[in-house]
Amino acid sequence: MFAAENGLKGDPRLKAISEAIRVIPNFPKPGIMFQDITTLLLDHNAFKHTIDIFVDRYRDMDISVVAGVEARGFMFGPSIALAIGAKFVPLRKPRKLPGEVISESYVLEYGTDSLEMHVGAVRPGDRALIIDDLVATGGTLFAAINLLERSGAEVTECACVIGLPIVKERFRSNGKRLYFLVEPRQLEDCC
Amino acid sequence: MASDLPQGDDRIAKIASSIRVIPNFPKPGVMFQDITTLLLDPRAFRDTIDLFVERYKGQDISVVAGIEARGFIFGPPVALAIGAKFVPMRKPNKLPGEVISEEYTLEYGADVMEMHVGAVQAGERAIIMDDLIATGGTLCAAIKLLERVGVHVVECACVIELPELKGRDRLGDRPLDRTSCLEGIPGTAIEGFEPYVDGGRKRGPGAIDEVWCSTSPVSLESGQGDQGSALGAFGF
Repeated sequence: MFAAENGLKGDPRLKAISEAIRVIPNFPKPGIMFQDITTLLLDHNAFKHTIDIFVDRYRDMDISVVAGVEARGFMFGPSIALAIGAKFVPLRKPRKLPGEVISESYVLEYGTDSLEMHVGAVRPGDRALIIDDLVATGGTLFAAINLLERSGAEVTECACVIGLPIVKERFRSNGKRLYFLVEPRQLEDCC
Repeated sequence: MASDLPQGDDRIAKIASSIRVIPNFPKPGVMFQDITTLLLDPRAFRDTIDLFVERYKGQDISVVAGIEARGFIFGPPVALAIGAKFVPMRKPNKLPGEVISEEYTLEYGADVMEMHVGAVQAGERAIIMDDLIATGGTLCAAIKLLERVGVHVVECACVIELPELKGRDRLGDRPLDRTSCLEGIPGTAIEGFEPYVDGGRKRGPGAIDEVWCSTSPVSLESGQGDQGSALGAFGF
């Protein structure tokens, strides 16, 4: 199923992108149908389409920061940042960033985790886009939003390759915007 | 070839000056080369990617392999620009599909690198990218993974090299390219780092000695280039 966004409905690029994503059942644990984007990265045309669609959407939105969530957000964010002339800011798991950081915790199914960002990477007045490969509950993205807003940036939108419409609603009810290209594939969609 | 680039020196100096040094990270005595400040400078980041793209475009490279996690930042833009696929080389248990694994030694202990089965095919030509080469252990593991499935590793490409850690020797006769060479002072001990001990492999006679060097070491933010400071870092 493809995200029926304005101007993109029926876009053949979305079909190619969706079909390039591999479903791995029962990873990381039973019952989860993992959406594997590594096969998208192996398909140069589909990968290029993915970046092009994001760049077309964000190039005129005056975005000065693209923040990518470790680690798969690093695979998409920098190319977008380079194309729109924005800085790229990695949002990382604890103790990876070497300089002074600010930290935001978020809840997992069992326990908590946290996301860190370098102090000074983002300034008040920066307009930010947050990128990850997939949004599930939105917990990670909301932590990312908090990091950026605490630093005085305005988060214009969160963007993912894969998402669910119901999560978009959750963002909207919190006054935030979520954009994604395709919905998760089922195993039977894959040949 | 780097020496043919008319603007090569200018871009490289700017790239080098955009890299921040964090002393005593991850442990005392290590001067960590922080590329996140390079990523905050769109011109410097663009120049970094352009230098690699200029070098590898038209070389029939079909695979750019990037080492987790900072290799994921530089590899995909290069892959997209040269028409290659991007293959992430990851820590254990991250890749969801069937993988092949290669163990490699760290200063203390060992780690494992993984690649998806089927990501690459025998006969493909690959480059491997990371932000920095220190001892070369990680790059070596990546080379082995690719060669095990019949891929020809054309070159390893990094933004930063720490030549005194002799990572280049560890790659044997496989070429290394990097955009910015941070010259340590010969003979300077790097505090906190065990002397690098190799099994005796030396660079083969055919090794490319193409180096792009910035002219001055990256110094601490607070001071001018201190010619006496020891430079060292662990690439993760």
